[in-house]
Amino acid sequence: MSGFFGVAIPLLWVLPLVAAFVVQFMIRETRRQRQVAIVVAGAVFAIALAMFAINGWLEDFARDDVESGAVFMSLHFHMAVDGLNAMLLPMTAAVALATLISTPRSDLRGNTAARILAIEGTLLASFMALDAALLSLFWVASMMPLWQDSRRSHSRPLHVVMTLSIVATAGALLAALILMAQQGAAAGLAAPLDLLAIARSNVVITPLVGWLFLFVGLLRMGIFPAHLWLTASAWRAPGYSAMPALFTSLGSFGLARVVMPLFPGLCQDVSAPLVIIGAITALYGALLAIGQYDLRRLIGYFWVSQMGLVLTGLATLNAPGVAGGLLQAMSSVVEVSGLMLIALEVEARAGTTDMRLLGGLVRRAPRMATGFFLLSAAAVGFPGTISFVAEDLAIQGLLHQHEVAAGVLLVVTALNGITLFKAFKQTFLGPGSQHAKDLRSFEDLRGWEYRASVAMMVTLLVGGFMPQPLLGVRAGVVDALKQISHDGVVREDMR
Amino acid sequence: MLPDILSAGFALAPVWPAIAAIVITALLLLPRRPSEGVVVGITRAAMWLCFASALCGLLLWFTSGPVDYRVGNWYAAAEYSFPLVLLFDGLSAVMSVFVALMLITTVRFSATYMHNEAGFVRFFLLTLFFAAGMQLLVLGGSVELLFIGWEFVGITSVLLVAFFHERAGPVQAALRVLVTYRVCDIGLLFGGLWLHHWLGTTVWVEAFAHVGEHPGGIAAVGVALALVFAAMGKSAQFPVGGWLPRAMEGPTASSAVFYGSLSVHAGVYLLIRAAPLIEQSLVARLMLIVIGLTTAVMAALSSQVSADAKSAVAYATATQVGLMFVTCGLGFYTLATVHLVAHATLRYYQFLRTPSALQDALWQQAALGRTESDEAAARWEGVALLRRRALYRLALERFAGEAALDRWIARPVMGVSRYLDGLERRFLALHSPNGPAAPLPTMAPDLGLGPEVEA
Repeated sequence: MSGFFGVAIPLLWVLPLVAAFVVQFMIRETRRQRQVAIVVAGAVFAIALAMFAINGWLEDFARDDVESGAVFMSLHFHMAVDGLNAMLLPMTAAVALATLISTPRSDLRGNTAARILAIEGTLLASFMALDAALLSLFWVASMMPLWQDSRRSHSRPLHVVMTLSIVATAGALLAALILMAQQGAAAGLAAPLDLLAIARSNVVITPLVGWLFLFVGLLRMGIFPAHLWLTASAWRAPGYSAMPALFTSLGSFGLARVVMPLFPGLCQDVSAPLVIIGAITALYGALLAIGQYDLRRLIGYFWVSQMGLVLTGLATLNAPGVAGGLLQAMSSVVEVSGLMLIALEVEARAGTTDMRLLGGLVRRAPRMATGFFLLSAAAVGFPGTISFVAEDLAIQGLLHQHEVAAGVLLVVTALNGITLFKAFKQTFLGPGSQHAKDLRSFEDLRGWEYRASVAMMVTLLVGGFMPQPLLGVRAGVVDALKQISHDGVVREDMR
Repeated sequence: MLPDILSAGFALAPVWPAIAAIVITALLLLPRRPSEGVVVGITRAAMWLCFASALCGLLLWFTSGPVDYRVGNWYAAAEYSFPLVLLFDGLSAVMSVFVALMLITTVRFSATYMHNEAGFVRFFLLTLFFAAGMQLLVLGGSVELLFIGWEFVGITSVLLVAFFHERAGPVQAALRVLVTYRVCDIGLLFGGLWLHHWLGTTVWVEAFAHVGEHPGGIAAVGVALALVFAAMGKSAQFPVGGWLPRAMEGPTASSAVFYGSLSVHAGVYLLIRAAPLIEQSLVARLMLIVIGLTTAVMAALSSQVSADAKSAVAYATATQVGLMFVTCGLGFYTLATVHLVAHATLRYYQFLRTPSALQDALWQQAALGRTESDEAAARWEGVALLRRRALYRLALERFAGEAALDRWIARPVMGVSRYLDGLERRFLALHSPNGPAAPLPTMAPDLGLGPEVEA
């Protein structure tokens, strides 16, 4: 392992967390808070990008482990960069950076910047963690800023669903850790919670642990019927700090990191039901999205629908399906975050995201309208974007055994296309409502907002036109995961 | 050597407009917008290069016959790959040249017609994307590549219908076009996937070669019906053709090239291209005949009662396309191809003339003493009064096709959506101290004004 990774891996999650602390407690001036947050997020993005580039160049995404000698109770600081998380790290950092840049200065006063940095740090740590306890700790921590927002919101329904989802997540993860620790210790493992050590040993962990991780993953993805917390937060929570926490691929990542490699038998057993649940979620999300009047709520349901598609792809347990699911999980983050950013920018300028009060904004904000349209096209899998490749692969994977689910997903993509164009039409085209006409000072994307949108689009288009390198990064992961369906044994490693 | 050069030249036909579109997009990102002259110059150059490529294809076909040209894979993931394959045969060579010619004419016409229009650059940008999509559609050697071209044609069509976006009418019409396209595109996707499942390939040449060896039964019927459904949407056939007269909200030049000439015939092209697959299913062929005849009769009547020139020509287009469906259903594919090219040329001219329709009518009146409208009125008077009234009413109502689709499909879907949404909102509001009926309050961002402000 090169020295760079020894420094970069801890830096990637410690830096944003320290910066969050500094911004929250040590800097009072809002302008300075914003500057520090953006500089740190930029640095973290640069480090993540460098890791992605160097790792891909030198090691072909062989794992780079960093193990800490210090073990606190059974917390083992084992982190790594591999094919599964290599792309997620720069992408999460980029979304956090874009969010910070796009947040209006007036909204950063409430230490929103600190929350965004905290979410970034905990998410990056979760993605790199190869220790179950560490993963669980950061998993729960990544939801805490959102919970804190809901607590201060005076919105009891939202606070209740957020509390329930965090309690359920924490409870399930704690129970899973206790069971793992017991069985690992009984089998004589030095680090009973180390995912890699468990995978390499012949220790058989009870499937109940797999069920618990599966539940937590599905809850984090927002799979029906455990989606309420997500759609409610997407609609009503303070947008800029909620967005990076809501629209993350942590849920599907958890399935691919823990459930699929460690519990192959369970995966085979639940493959068909998960395909059905995924297809139902995709259809349910699409159906609810199409009738929405509020742009933010619509995007929340659209995300649910996309996660249904991701789950369906992963649950096929064959190479095209898993590759498609993983790719879709990644591209959805960029697309939905981009759409949400534009929705939040509209909200900041118009005071509402109710589409009945909007319309005709393209005259004042052509860049914003173009950005929304292109991101929508990318999100519904228009040819030439990453989602086209991902959906094509996922549906090809489904065709082997689940033709009906493949048909459902085709209907879902059609519905989602209609939904997003309808939203585009109601928000940006037409004569506009009286409220929209009165918005004489409505301004287009400016400076860095514009650059962030262009960067997102370029990422999606370049990735869509040349998807092979992206698929290559994940090829090792897909090869490892598809072993499950063939021989039902745990792979020696989890690359 | 020569075939290789010609193949490479022909394969570039969709690439030139795409490159030109990217160049114009890049110019738009610069601080100073490109002038009309620059945009037209780039577009014109791309279209002529596209025409030269298409001529290479024609020459190739004359010298070497049909060629299955493989460029490689776009992407591959373990057991699946997306092949980039183009098919050069008589049909695609002729269509490619025809498409290029129509687009050169459109650019020439639009450079003057769109002068000083607010969306000048947007119009040419969309025309370039349309050209790339249309060339890919006619040259695509697999269902997937045809689908990509099909999607580009669809989205540019929608955006051009909504060209005058400041008015409610065009925007609403664009939504209707998009809904029809998206729903009917499921047919093409479904057909492609089922074809892959049935014959193990979606490359036209391979599928045609294997189709005889695998009598498909349900698969053959399913694939053929799915492709027919896709063609119905794009070619505005009953009952999903209500979008065509509404699509006339766009600029005249785009109406001519999309709905008179190229896009509206894309469905017929699909039927001709996939003829060996469609011939496997008698049900699909019967369906083609029934749908084609129904559309032809209904659209002819609706055309006669249309109050504006563009709608009348649009319905007349649907009539002729319906007849092409019938000829495809009967297996006369060569006749359908000739009909397609001849009709597309005539309608293109008619659409371009519609802004001068009143003047043309006056000339007709002066020269002949009567107009086409007079002749149509005389024909209606030949029908018995009661039957005439009923028929007129039905034709005016467009045979209630759209209303039925709205009532039986669109409204129930929206109803289910709103019902489920209501359930969720009520469930969430159960936790509200104000009771289930109270709306979820909007959360203000935590402003945390800081100690210095609080003090």
